Amino acid sequence: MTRRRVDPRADRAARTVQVGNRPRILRTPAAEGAAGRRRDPRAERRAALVRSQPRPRFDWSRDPAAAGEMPAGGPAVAIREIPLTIVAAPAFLVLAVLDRPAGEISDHDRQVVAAARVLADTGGGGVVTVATGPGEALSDTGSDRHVALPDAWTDAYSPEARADAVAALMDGLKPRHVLFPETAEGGEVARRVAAATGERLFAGVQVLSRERAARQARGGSLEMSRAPTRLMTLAADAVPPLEGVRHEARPLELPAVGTTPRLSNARRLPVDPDALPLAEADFVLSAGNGVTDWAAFAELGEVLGATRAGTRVVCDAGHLPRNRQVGASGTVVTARCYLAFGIAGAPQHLQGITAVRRVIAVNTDLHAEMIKRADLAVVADAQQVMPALIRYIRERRNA
Amino acid sequence: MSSPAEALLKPLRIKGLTIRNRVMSTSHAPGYGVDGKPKERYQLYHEEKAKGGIGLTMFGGSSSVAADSPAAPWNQISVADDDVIPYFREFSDRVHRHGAALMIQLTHMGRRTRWDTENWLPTVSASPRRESAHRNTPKEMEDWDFKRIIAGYAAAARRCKQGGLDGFELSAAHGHLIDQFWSPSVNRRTDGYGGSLENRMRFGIEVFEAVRAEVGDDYVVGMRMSGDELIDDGLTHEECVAIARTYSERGLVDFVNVLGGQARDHMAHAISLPNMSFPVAPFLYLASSIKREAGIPVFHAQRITDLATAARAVEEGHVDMVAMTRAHIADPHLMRKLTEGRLDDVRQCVGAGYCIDRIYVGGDALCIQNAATGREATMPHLIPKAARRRKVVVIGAGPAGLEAARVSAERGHSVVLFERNPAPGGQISIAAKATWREALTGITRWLHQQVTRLGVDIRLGTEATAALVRAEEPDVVVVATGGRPDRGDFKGAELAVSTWDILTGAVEPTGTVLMYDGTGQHHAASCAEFMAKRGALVEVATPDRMVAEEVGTTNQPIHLRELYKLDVVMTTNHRLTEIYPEGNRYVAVLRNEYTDEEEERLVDRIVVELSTLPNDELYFDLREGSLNRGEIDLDSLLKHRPQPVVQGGTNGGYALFRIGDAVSGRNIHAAIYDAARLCKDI
Repeated sequence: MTRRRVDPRADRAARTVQVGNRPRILRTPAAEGAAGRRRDPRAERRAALVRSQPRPRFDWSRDPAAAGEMPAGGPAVAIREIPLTIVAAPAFLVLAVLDRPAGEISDHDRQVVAAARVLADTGGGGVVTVATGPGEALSDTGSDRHVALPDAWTDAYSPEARADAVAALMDGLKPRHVLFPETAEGGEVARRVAAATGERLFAGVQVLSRERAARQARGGSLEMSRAPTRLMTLAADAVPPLEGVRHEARPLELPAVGTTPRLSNARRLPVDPDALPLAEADFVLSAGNGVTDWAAFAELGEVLGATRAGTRVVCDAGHLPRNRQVGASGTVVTARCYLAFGIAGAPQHLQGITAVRRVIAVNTDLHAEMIKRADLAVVADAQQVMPALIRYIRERRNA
Repeated sequence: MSSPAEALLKPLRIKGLTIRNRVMSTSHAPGYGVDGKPKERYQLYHEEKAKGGIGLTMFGGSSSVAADSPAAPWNQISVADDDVIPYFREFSDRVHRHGAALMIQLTHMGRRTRWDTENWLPTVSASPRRESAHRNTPKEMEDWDFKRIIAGYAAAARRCKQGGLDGFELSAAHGHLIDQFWSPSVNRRTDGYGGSLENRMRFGIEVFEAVRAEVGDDYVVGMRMSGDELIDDGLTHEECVAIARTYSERGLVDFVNVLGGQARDHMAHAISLPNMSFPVAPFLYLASSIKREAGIPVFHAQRITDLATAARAVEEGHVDMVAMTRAHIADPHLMRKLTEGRLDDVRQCVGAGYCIDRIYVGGDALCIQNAATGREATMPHLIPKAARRRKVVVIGAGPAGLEAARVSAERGHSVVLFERNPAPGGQISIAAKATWREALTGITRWLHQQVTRLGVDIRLGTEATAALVRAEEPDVVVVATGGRPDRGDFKGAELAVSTWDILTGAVEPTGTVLMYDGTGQHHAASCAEFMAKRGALVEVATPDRMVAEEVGTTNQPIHLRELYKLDVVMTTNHRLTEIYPEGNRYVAVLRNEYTDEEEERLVDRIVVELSTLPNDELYFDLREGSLNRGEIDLDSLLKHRPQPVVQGGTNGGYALFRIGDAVSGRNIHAAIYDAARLCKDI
């Protein structure tokens, strides 16, 4: 063979002579190394790496004999804890009355706390959240104080009691502003509070600063703007929720309120999950190309009480109607839980589930994009998981 | 959401102009201009969209207003003299006939052009800051430059009005002269045109004032601008909002056409023209934010490929007009299909960027999947029925075979389509396995859906033989059997695997892998990315000057970005000349293209990409019995006439044709054009 084979590391080693404590590289090998020209570009680059923080630095004239002394990963990056913000003596208070539907802090709730912070922060004010459940979970939303409403109100329809509680808090805490989410529930409480206290409500605020609250009117042809009022409801997605903050959420007492509710929820009406518009479904069971057992898929939807949906390929093939297609080119879903069977996760599909809170994916391919997106991933065949899940649910119900 | 039709089929009124719906095509530069004029090809291309129901079609991306912003070298449009007016008249009559509105984009490119073309004039800009994409350092504009360029804009504006166009926009986006003045990354002037935002806005305001004085207050004048340059030293989003508000409050512009990013380098260019690796509508938020502040209609383009996304953009109030420019290149009849409730028949843009990538290397814009776009004079978008119904047998359900079956079925023929595999798609199904290339499946998904709808007898999982084909008693046989990987003929070639082996899952990539890129196309780069994402330590070697050298300018940066991110080693200028085993590993011998010096790699796996060789066995089995021995009469093909062999009857015999990679390994567009061009005249 006329070709020379070189292993650069061996080559280097052959040219290295020890002079005192330091190795020295000779221009010509001390002794002839292995014949050849074999290179390992990755090893060469590793050898030339002088340091990796804050950004990698390469020195191509670097002595590889010294390369081994470099710690491979560079210094460990310490995870910084978010400092706790304490408003010890607030100059004034802003109440954020939250929905916390079924005990969970909604995105809209987070936006209301963030809006309250907008009003509180520049003047040294404090934000008091008012909601069922403990305050700890509200610390990262920006809550300085928290008033816990009775646990019994979590699932009950209780607008009168909530309105009374807010009125009592307004009486006791004298907040400068009270904010509610402009939702079915928060909106109703706000209007009841307005009626009870005689305060005027500025509803559906879309732009908020300390000086100005604004909203669109007349089908978007008009903007109404004024100084922030005492009672306001906030439109969805008008104020971004806070990130990287930690506040005290110190508990405050709820003054006793003697309410005799005249309204309550008697019973919940059963809803056919498949009759719901997909965009409004809360729990979606979705199928992709990896699903072949459509009977099991339908049965699973039924036992879970989930709304059935699918990918474009599934709808193209006629397994589900077009209005069940999830994705940018179909329906954008906002479910709290998305259970995906056999879906690879094309970008346009993933774009349809960006607002989903929890994704559970079942897929045979560990490298599928859907597995990366998932909060819980099961690497298995949909046809095996679906009947197992049906069996498990039935057993649990019958137990 | 309600039906996309409800949101999109509402007219929009801007001054005296009523646009019939909310969907438009933005000005782009397809390279169809001749002598700087929009002649027949250019006009037919836009007329097709007008026929197809579009509200507003804008042509002439970067149409020039001055001699030092040359247009003709790239087959674009020059509005720098009056000769263009008759063409504008003809053009606007043609588009108005179908109820659509027509506008143009005017611009001076400043430093975003070359000096070594038709006029050999140095480029000019706010400051002599080098533009790397066009490799020039501009001259700083002097007082007489301001005067002549502003006059140039005004004269061009007059020509648009005289030509009967419904309006125009001035480009102040992608780093053209007006936004070169705006952007602190270019403008370093210390006179009244530099420094504060107010000063940086001055040149643009003077241009718009001159233009407005020329065309009057009633004429529709718009502005294309970025909503955020997305670079450290560039225009911020807040500055862009302030610019939009200022220009609109002064009554200078009637609409703003907002995009995200700029285009001063390769990566920025790829981001501003997002390909299939991007989510849909990635920069809608910028247009939405400007809409809140500007108080005038907002237009927006950038990867809005489907009607559902378009409808959401309008319905949720983000924009007034949705531009579906590439979507119309793929399907100019998009809006007609929407109004007719035929959403499933829309041929959706897959974001391959084939159209744009061709124009940036001096070619003409062609659609990867629609062979009729830009060829309206010879290729119909609506296939007419044939005079005589024939029996057509197509073998192979890749892009070529599916298109042959679709066009033949549209012609009214009885079509049988054989496919060996259990699913259609051919090589596209393999290519689409490679991470972001997934969207390619949209091409064959649509074709498959169409041939199903048209009642083609599709025989999946059936390997056609000559006997099976003859048993159908066909009049015409189209062989579209595709190809198989060319494994090369160097020493030890049999020790390598192909990109197909990796992407189909036949071989699991582990350990260290050498990926040899012998074509410079998407194949090797995307396969390398696929392997690296599965944990392999990958090195790509190529005899080219760079990896993925043949991939166009909106796609190549994405490949390179991904390969760098995944720590793939890229070795250029080396040809694979030999492979031999060593233990249970392999040694690849790489020879330097320029010095002939050889070096080796010891790796666990060697993958090669060398294009395909034809699957031509069936063709040769059928050739002897055919009427034409498989010959395609090239003269008839190029003149768009029926093949002589199928003129009249075939009298019990069959005509045989071979198309796509079954002839020679090329690309998707070639396969589809082969099929459509031949079959439309059968």
